[in-house]
Amino acid sequence: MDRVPVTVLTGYLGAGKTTLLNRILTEQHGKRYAVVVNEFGEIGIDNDLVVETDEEVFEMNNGCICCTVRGDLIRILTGLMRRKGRFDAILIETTGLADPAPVAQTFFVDEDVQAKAKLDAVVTVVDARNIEARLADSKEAREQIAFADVILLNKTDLATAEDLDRIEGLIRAVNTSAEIHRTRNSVIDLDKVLDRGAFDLDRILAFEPQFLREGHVHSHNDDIASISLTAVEPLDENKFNRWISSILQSKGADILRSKGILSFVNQDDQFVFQGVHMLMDGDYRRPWAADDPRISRIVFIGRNLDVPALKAGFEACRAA
Amino acid sequence: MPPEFGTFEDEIYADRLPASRVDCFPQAAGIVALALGASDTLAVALDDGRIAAGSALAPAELSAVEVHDGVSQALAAGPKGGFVSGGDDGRAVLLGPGGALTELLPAGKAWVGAVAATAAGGLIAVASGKVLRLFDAAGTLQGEAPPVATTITALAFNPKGKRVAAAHYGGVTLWYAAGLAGTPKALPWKGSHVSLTWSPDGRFVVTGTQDKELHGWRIDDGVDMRMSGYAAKVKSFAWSADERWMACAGSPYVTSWDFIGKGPMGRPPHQFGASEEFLATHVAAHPKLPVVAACFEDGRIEMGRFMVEGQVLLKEVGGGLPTGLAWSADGGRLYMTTEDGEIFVVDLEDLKVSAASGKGKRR
Repeated sequence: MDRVPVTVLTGYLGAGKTTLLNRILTEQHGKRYAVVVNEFGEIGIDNDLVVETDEEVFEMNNGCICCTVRGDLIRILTGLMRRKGRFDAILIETTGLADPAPVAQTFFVDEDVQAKAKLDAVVTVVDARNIEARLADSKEAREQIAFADVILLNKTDLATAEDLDRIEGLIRAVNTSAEIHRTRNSVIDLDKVLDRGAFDLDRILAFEPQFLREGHVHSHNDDIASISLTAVEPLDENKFNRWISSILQSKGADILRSKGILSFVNQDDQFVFQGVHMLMDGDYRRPWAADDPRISRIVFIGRNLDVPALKAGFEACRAA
Repeated sequence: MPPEFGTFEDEIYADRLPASRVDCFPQAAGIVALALGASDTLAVALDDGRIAAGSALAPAELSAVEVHDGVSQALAAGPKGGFVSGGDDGRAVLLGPGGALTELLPAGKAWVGAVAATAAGGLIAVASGKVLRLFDAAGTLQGEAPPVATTITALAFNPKGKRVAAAHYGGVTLWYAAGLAGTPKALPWKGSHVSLTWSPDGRFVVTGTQDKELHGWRIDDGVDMRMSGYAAKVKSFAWSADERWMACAGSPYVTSWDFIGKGPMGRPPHQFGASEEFLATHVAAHPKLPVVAACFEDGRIEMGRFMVEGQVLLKEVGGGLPTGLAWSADGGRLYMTTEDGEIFVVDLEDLKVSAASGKGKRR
């Protein structure tokens, strides 16, 4: 059975999340959605199946201090799955203050959710007028951008072109690998938001344009940044596994997301992985194409990233 | 006293049941839950929100009633016949033996995530979000507890039906059922508790946790027990007829813990299971004999005997993902339901035990 795709919508109240949600629901695409909301905003939601939930963030006892899950989502997603065949996809609208990590980790941790549902993408809607202020004063706003696979830079009609370029730079400083779309009234082709497969190992390559850009940018005000590293020489699988495990074990609380496409020595297939905090999923996927440069790429998004140490550690994974 | 074992002993490890002993009764919709009730009645919750109920002897002739605008999230046999169901529409009902519906809770915002009933106490417990309510066997509200801190995930009465336990994040809360009066007793343990069972001797409460472990409390002295090593959350428990063994699903093996004396601490569990690949989804203990049946993700049903190696195959691989497993009261039939809407009935005439003798029928 195909797993039901789940799209998570984040963003501050007033950014345009509910507008986007209603666009998704009313567009003629023939798909039926179940919608999970934390709170009813000022705009109604135009759908038959809306479930309201209280955020219940639960700690796991699995030794990962940062491993929290959304107990309410586990219950609601598995409960919704009992209505077999009555919807095609699920949209989760989170509150402006919700931490995306427990939502994403829920899909890594709970076997019932994994069996029937898959996290498709985290979509973050930001308000061009006030995102600079939010980035400066709100940990949640920074984390929502750090976790995003797709970012709608919304309300572009209320900002100048220079403002937007500057804002995009600030967003890139936090998250190098997300797709950024400039929108008004959350108007966007839905195929840019839905069915992204951003958490599918098979689809990580889709983010190649941003992904390839090596480097890192420190945002001036804080803490969360992105770093991408590349290696032209093939890597040693054992060395890499030891390194990534130890990095995620020791620094996983600070590393919000990680993903990579790796070329291991004596392997014809690409190794693809991605992680949320200390949790990681990785596997061999498709073969490297004949004309494809076998470059290993890895991205970390997090706080207090020790760039020289990460770079040195990654380079030390090269096959001897 | 443990009941005596019948002629079954010699057969169990020798062979498998002939396929002709398994019948399949397809329903019009997928099945999300199964319950067997008093007087050989059976109910299945269908994935379209209806509940089909009738004689367990005629699963082809169940009659379905519209119950939930959504789907049942919890189904149990009623305290004095009939069935209780709670759904994601917020509604909870008592479905009478004749098919009449008594509404316990009207549709509302909070899902009903758990129900339980006690024949001994003549009560029904319904958890709606964080709130526990008790009803008598006729469906009249008897009490409502102040909300616990997080959503209630599972409910269980003690064997006498005098106390009721609710599992939630951070442990279990125990109330005295009489009006839910008095300060409830907290059985704390960190983590999210997702399933619950109360031992038939009344001495232990055990939960399954989000962390794929079991946590147990010895109620008299509050001693904690931890049982780990599961591949998945443990959501199905079964206590042996002699009250000694607690079997559970959640791994490719059926794991049975020995609760004699002080409890299972320091004793390895008994295990059986023919495949390492597919998880046991449900376990059900024979009502009289010391055997337990289990169904697996691949549709297999196996049966094992406590303290004895091995298992017998009762149903081959096949059919949809199991959603319920239960014995008839006489132990002569075993029922399994699936997501795909099948009711499988395994004929186990050899294991039929009359209530009076407590012995297996001789061939």
